[in-house]
Amino acid sequence: MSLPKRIIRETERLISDPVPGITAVPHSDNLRYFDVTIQGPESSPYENGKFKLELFLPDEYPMVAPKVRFLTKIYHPNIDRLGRICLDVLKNNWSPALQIRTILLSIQALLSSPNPDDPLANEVAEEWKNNNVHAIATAKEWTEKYAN
Amino acid sequence: MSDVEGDDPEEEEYDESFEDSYAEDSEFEYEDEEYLDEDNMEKVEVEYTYPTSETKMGTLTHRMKYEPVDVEDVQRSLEEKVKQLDTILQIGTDECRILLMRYNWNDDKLLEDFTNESLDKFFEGSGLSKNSKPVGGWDLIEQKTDESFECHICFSSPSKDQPLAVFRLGNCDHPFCIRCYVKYIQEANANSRLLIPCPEADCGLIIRLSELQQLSDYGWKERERAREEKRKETEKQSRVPLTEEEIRQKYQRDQIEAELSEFSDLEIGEGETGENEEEKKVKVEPKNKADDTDEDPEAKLFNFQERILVQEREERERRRNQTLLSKYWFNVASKYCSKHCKSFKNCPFPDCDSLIMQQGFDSNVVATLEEFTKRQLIPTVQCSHKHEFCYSCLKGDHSPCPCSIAEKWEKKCKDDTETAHWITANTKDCPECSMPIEKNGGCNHMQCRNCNYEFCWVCLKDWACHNNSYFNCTKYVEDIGEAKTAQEKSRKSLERYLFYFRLFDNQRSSLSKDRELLEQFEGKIQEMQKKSSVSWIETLFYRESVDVLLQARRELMWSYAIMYYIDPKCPKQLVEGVQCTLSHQVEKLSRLFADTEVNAVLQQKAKFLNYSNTVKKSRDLLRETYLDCIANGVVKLTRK
Ligand SMILES: [Zn+2]
Ligand SMILES: [Zn+2]
Ligand SMILES: [Zn+2]
Ligand SMILES: [Zn+2]
Ligand SMILES: [Zn+2]
Ligand SMILES: [Zn+2]
Ligand SMILES: [Zn+2]
Repeated sequence: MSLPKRIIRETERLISDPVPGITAVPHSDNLRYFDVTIQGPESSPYENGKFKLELFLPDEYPMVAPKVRFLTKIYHPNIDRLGRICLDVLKNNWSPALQIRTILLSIQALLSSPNPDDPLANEVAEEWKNNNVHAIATAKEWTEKYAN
Repeated sequence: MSDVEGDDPEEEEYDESFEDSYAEDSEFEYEDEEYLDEDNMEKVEVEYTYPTSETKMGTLTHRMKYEPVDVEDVQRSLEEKVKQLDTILQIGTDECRILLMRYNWNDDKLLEDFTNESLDKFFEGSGLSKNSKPVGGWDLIEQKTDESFECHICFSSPSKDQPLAVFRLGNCDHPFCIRCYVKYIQEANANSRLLIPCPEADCGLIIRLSELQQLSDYGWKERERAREEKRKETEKQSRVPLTEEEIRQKYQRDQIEAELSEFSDLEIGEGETGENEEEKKVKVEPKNKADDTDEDPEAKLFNFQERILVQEREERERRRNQTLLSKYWFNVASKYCSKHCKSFKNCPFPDCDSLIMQQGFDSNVVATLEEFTKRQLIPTVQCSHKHEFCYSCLKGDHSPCPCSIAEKWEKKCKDDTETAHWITANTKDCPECSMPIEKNGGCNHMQCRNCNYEFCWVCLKDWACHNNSYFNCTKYVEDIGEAKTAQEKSRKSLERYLFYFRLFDNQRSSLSKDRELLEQFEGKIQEMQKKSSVSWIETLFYRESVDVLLQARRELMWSYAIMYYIDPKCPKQLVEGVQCTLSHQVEKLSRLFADTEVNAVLQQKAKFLNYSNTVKKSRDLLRETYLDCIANGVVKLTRK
């Protein structure tokens, strides 16, 4: 199946006008599959970390959201052990006017401001709420250990 | 999460808090009841599955209660509610509709919030615009020529010679190309969303019905245009050779079509499997007056109005379940049903959008569908478009055959098609003069054109011996002697199977042949109606007889399937007797159809009514007899 104009344009623009701290490169044998890296935001427990993600554009894209998953282990209340992300724009609030770029920016923003009240990883969220200092320390530890 | 979806957590919250107060306050309960009642809704009578609560022999039966729901009825009743709300709020029906959906049609809670919250907050939270402009005089569709414009969904832009058709909502400035908008709504419809926001991520405005209407109409028109183009194309193609001018035109058309084909792909649903011959709708043709000189003006006006009504109905019929809007209303109706009953299903017939709400059972022992079908009862329901189907297995009606048997039988037939193939041939030789005879109607009472011998298609014996109740050829003479070898056993089993399969298959092909014949006939009747002053009502008896015939053939067909599964040692004379009677009466009615000329139909009215009444009675008796025999253990269904 040929690639829709939208995906071609989006890919071109991601390369010609990259987002600071984010890279997204399509596989040469499957242009719907992207290798993504996100730099941990400054003054967050993920600072200095480099997180790998995978992103896939389903056939129905952009009518349905892209599928995104963390490949690097991360300690975050909205990201579970399998790297799945709880983010409204990836689910009910997806709009076809959003793009790969905006989604990756939202994920970056999620690293800056975790939302333990809408958790995906329950234990992490509990820790985050009840023992915040310890939780943040763990997040830093994991970043150093895995995200390099 | 600020969801806009119909069944989002936010909404459930409304429901919960509502239920809390419901438990505390009995007065509230009453109001809720009234609300659930939808007092505007023309109350649909609850219907029951057949048979009556007791058979003629006194066996107690259990019935399923159900309510056929027509999407248009739901629409009417909700629109009534929308209007009522608007007389209070005065913010426009489009806006009221969105609010009602947002509040799950709980207008008490809606009014409470409306009076308590600040208006700005209330509007914004509901996805409405404060300064809403009604959709009307101006179009939401625009042909964009500005080359700097880019659709945020497909990234297309207009070019110098190719403008881009875009659509936008009345209250925001977020245009997208129409094609993307249509796809977007389709996706939302597929996810049963009732509150569909503007596709722009940060906008949050909910699409209003009149906006959806414009989009839907546009999509429909494009689709029809693409169809028409295609039709013309095939017409042109059949006429060769082409002139140079024609080739040039064809090339242009091809281009247009390539453009439009995307639309037709978009709009044409998967429903068009062409399998709905079963219940082809009786189309009402407007009367054509040969000369209207001596017609009084009132009649003329009446005819005109009638024609308009007919056209409207046909248009509705065509659009049913086909457009963005009709699919949207189907979702609304489903949501409505899910609020009003525990279980509902939609009619399995192609392109039918009717729903059936199951309302429990008329029984003090049967409480679930599973228990119901376990008793070999069949939950046959009829949708508001008169399609009959089984509520449990969603196949076309298979009474009097229980679901489990029908399923087994279908599987067996599928597995044994090779073995049984030879039976389905449509020609047989006349048993008297050996002239090949083709069967072209459903009637099994044959007459050879060569020697005038009258015989039975099923057993090839003289028809005269079938003219009384000793109609013997549908009875299988059981060979109950112990089968000695495995080979003998399997031969016996195959013989028995083939015997009933042959009867089943014969009814099946008679059914389709009768249907064919009657469809041709229907066309002739319509012609006759046009020429003479015969009204549609006057020929209604004929159509009802058609239904009776086809339905009786279907039931007879399934009754042979049960016979195969009856324990050979059981006394089955009783059911066989009823079966024979029905079979003979069906042939009589079928013959009447075949023998009646179009212009003699009205003279034969009494005969049609008489014959079909007899068939109806025997058909009911057949169902009840099976029930009685199974309930009393006279027959046992055993075979694997
Ligand atoms: Zn577009
Ligand atoms: Zn908008
Ligand atoms: Zn139906
Ligand atoms: Zn069934
Ligand atoms: Zn003959
Ligand atoms: Zn006959
Ligand atoms: Zn016979």
